[in-house]
Amino acid sequence: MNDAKQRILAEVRRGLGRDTPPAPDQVESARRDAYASSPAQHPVWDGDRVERFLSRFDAEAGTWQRVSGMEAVADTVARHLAAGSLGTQLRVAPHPLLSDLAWPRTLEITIGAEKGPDSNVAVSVAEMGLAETGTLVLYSGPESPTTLAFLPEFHIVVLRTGDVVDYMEDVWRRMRERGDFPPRSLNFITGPSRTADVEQTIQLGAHGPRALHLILVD
Amino acid sequence: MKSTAHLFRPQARSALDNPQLRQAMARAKDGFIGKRRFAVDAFNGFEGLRDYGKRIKDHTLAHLDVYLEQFESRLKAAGGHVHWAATAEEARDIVVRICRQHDARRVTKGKSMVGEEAGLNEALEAAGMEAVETDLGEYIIQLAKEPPSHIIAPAVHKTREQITALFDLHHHQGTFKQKLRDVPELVNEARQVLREKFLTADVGITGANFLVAETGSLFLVTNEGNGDLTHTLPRVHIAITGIEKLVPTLDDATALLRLLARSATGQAISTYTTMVTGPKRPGDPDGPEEFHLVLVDNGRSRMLGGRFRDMLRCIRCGACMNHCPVYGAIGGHAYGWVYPGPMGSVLTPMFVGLDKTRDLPNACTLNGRCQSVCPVKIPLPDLLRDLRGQQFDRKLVSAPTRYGLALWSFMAKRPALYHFASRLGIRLLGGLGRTHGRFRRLPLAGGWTASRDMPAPQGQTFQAAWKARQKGTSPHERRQTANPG
Repeated sequence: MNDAKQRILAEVRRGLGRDTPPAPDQVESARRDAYASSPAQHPVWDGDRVERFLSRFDAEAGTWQRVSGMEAVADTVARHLAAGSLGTQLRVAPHPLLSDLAWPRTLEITIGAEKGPDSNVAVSVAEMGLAETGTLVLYSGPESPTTLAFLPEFHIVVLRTGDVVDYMEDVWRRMRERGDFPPRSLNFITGPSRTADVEQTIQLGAHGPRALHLILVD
Repeated sequence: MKSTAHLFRPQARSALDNPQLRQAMARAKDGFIGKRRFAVDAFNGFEGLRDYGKRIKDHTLAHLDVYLEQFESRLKAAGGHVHWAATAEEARDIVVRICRQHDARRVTKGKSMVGEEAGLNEALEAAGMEAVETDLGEYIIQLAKEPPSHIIAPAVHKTREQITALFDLHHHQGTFKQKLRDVPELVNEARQVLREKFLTADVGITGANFLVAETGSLFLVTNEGNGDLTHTLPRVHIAITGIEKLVPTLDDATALLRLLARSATGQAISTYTTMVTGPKRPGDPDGPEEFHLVLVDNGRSRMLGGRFRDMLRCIRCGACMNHCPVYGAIGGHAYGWVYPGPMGSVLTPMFVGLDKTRDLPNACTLNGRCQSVCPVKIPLPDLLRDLRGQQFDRKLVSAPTRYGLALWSFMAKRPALYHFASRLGIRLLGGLGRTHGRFRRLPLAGGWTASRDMPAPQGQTFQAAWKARQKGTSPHERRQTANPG
């Protein structure tokens, strides 16, 4: 409804006391003066970035293992399934990083997005990790179906140590260089699904995964 | 949503008489305050972050037209449809029309307060569609046929016994014998019921916590993951939100996300913080075919011109109500519309009309805690005081109060007369109350004496007592008075 747009913009401009919008460079310099030239306000910590990332991830009820090299991932996943009695079926994201893995024959592997309530466990790849909050960053696209992060009961995520950054601002800096940014959905995931809607008692596994397991690859 | 804010007094009275509500509210309050405190203390320099957040919002609001148009063009470039709604009715019609165009039968919904403003659920149901709330708290109150009582914890007023009974009635046709079930059991049952709804919905409707002009994106935060299932699984995603949710850049959204999570739930970040930009891309294995964003004004642009622009900084965290003694006593429903507590007492008169919300600006002790915890430093007590002034000017205050205030202001502007009258009054009351030292009943002060006694004055005005004290005290005591502490 274009008419509504004109009415709203006219009312906005009346409230701001002008008929026409200011020039873009004026807006940008006003933005710099107002706040953008002062340093961003973010939490600070002592010590190693990856340690901070893992300790935050831990604090948010995520579990993790650190392995050296992608070749260790398939066995690590298989052992994780066995240890938790999570079954032998595994849905795997069609990600190039996962395409050459030598899965043990005991596992039934399905590759691709989730359409129904079928999968118990899924594996996907996080684009980046955030030390500030212990957060995994998942980038939706052909290689990374969003459904894998939400429908299965258990979610396993592979992340390379080199992709851990300090702050969300660092994510934006890297993302702005990509030609395909923004994706439909960029998911910042910090621990498994939870709710506190019944008497403020925190309960894991509200609608999304009941557990989130990270395999950090050096 | 239809307002019952004009019935604030009887609603507050019946809330105070409801033991289950008071039990639930008492439990909730300490949790919210403690968690926020912990998260704020852990962030070294939260004051600086609050100030930064305020400046981001002030700048955005001062250039709102520019950022709205930039946002629209970026979102269109990403393949999204943008709809503008000047009123709640227009927003409702737009959403129903889109759902009809796709022959929607079942619609899943993530929690949206703007959706409540527009009364979406009722409209969708009237159009023959099933609207299912998927946030657990929102689902519980949908079963109870109640509006939310808190903007981030809509079922905060419900006890576990009440939720057990609701699930029994709706999931087991009243055949379940247990009176009180465990939290994990209740959450699991809702998960199973709603899983089926997620997978079969035709349209998913969400709100938005922030809109970003830089990329035409929205940010959506949940802890349950219901927002992501709502916008990822159906064929169509409709997001509905207010025009004041804009920020210029992704870095700005980041600063406000840091404020929001800490102020709302005491988290450093919400479990699922999602940036959504348009519909699925070619080659994407999942996501909706169509994406619609409904930008709702509904009275917001009118607030830009005066001092109530400050209120448009609000990021809907709920900290003000969590720290409000009035909200803590009566809960959210008494306020009678979408937004309760301090922020609601400012917003509801703006959206619904001051004449229909007379009690809201007065349901406040002006203790200032709301302002001290507001992540974007909204001067809520000042705005409420301003609304009280407007009520007086527009003669929306009862005649006795108006004449009383007029008389007081006449006297207060004439110090000699004021002192004379107060001396006289105090002497009179002091003499009358000499025997008991207090009054059980007093004419014109029934509101005070209904629930407590009025202490009798000692026979002197404060100023007279102070003068006498200054004269009669020893030099030592005077020095102490002059240098307190």
